[in-house]
Amino acid sequence: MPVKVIIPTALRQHTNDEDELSLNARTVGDALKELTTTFPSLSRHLYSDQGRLRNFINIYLNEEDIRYMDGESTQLKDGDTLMIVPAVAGGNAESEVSFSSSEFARYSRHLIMPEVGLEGQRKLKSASVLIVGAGGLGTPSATYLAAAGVGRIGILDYDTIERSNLHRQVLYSEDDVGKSKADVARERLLRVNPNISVEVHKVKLDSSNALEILRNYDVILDGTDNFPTRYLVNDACVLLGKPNVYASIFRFEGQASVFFAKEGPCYRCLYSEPPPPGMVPSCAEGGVLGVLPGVMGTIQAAETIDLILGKGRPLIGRLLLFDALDMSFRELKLKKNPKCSICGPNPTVTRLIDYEAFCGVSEEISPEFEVSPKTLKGWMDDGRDVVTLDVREPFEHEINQVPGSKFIPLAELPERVNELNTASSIVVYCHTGARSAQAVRFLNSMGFKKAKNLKGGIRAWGNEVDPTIQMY
Amino acid sequence: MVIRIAKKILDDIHAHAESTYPEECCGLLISQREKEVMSAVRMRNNYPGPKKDRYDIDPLQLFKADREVAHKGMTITGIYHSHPDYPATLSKFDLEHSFPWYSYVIVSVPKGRAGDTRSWVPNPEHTTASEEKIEVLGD
Repeated sequence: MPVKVIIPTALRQHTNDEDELSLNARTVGDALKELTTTFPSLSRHLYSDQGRLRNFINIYLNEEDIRYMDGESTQLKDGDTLMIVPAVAGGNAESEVSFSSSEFARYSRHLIMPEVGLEGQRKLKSASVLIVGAGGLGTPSATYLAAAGVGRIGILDYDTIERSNLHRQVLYSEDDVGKSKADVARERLLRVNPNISVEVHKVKLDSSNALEILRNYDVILDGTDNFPTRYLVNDACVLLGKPNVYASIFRFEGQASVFFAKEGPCYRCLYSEPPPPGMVPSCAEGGVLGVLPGVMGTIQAAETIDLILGKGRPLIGRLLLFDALDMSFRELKLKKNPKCSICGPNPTVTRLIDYEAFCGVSEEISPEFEVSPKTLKGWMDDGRDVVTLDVREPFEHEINQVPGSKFIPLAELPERVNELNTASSIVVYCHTGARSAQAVRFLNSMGFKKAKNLKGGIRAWGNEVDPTIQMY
Repeated sequence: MVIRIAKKILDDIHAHAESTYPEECCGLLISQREKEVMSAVRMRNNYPGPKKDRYDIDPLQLFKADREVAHKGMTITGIYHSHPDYPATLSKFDLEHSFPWYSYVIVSVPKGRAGDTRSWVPNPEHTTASEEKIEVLGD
């Protein structure tokens, strides 16, 4: 068959300066043989010493890679065009990503899937993921990413393990209570997979360190439980151009998405501003089904792996909603907000800001309206006339109380405020101090000038004053 | 060996390298006569994974660029790419994937600023490369 062969300009010197040649051949292999017989010096550029077509030479037949046809046996038709195109690639990546025989055994179920294969497993091994928050979301995702062979995992958490973490943070055990989450996570993950490296960042992520830390990772997995850090992670990812694999959980409901401003919306496109402080309770305030972060965290791990492999259709521009009570998944389409303050065409946020202030957390309550558990205990011991007010839900009030408390759930406070005396010294408490702060703000506005918040809530009271109360 | 590049073109390559930081950029060096770069053509980094230390040029994009170059009677004389936070030397991976008929111009981009820029010509065995001097024209 008469066919045309197109030679890359850089190889013209081997073909008497011709870049388009016509020849007769039945198959692709025949055509290449004919070509190299006519121009012998071309041969070593196309074929290895073993006579096989070189790895980095692509042969296209009418714009289709012959690897996806019948290779060199692909039949030619009259008028076909064969193109020789070098596969130009490189970079400073260490190419010696290799696997020991025990790693081959470990990853065998990955390796046999064409979507992963050796190439995909190499990508996983070369990849780095930062897990922000080693809690309910961070621990299951980190476990699966470690097991899957993600080569470098960063764990960012400065907290210690509490007993109330254990119903969902299954990487930790009973005797870990009081230890550093990041340290214990590192030790466990290395036990899951000793072939990876785990880096520990025992710091509070803030505007001064976020870019420096996040810069060193390919994918950021957001396992945070508060708005300031969530906005901070989002903004840092947008500024650094990194994908942010997001999930959040509350009671029985979870949501997940991938915020990647280069290809879709970011978190601010979805929520341009944080909710008023205290309006959306945290898991510590509102509770969470233990298994929920397990579901959402593994979804984050799966998304992270898809991103690293470059396979599938990641949750970019999609918000996945999961309800563990109804056992249902729903999906919402998300669009990039053209007015987004950070990833829109005219951003007003061009560097990291003060996220505590942005979320109203730092101005939640001023220090003169706060009382530490020890101070309150002192007042009570001195016999000062102080009313302690519990604004939690009835089932919480049943578990424990500060002795002698008056009990008005937060939602009933406006209608029952007349049960309190504006002249009294009132100390309001809840579980961790967030709902009671709202109550104090309300009381202050109603003229209760001596209403104060119990800092850290009854949890702090239990830790600092009365270890005998039932904790939850 | 010497490769000649006009300052304007080199500036453009540096700007490209800075604009994609912390990811690698890549592009083609076009010449009429051997080793005298007439223009630099930016290519998309088509690597499907993290691009901070890898680049791929889409073969069909390369093919089309090569045809345009051929029609103007010119040739692709080299490939440029950036090494974010890494020296301007050919990595082992670069070498393994190299073609001896191209010059490989590498821009080191420490902390987002284009810096050291060097050119390399690999041997056909992919085992080593010799450095060629970059002569900047019109400086």
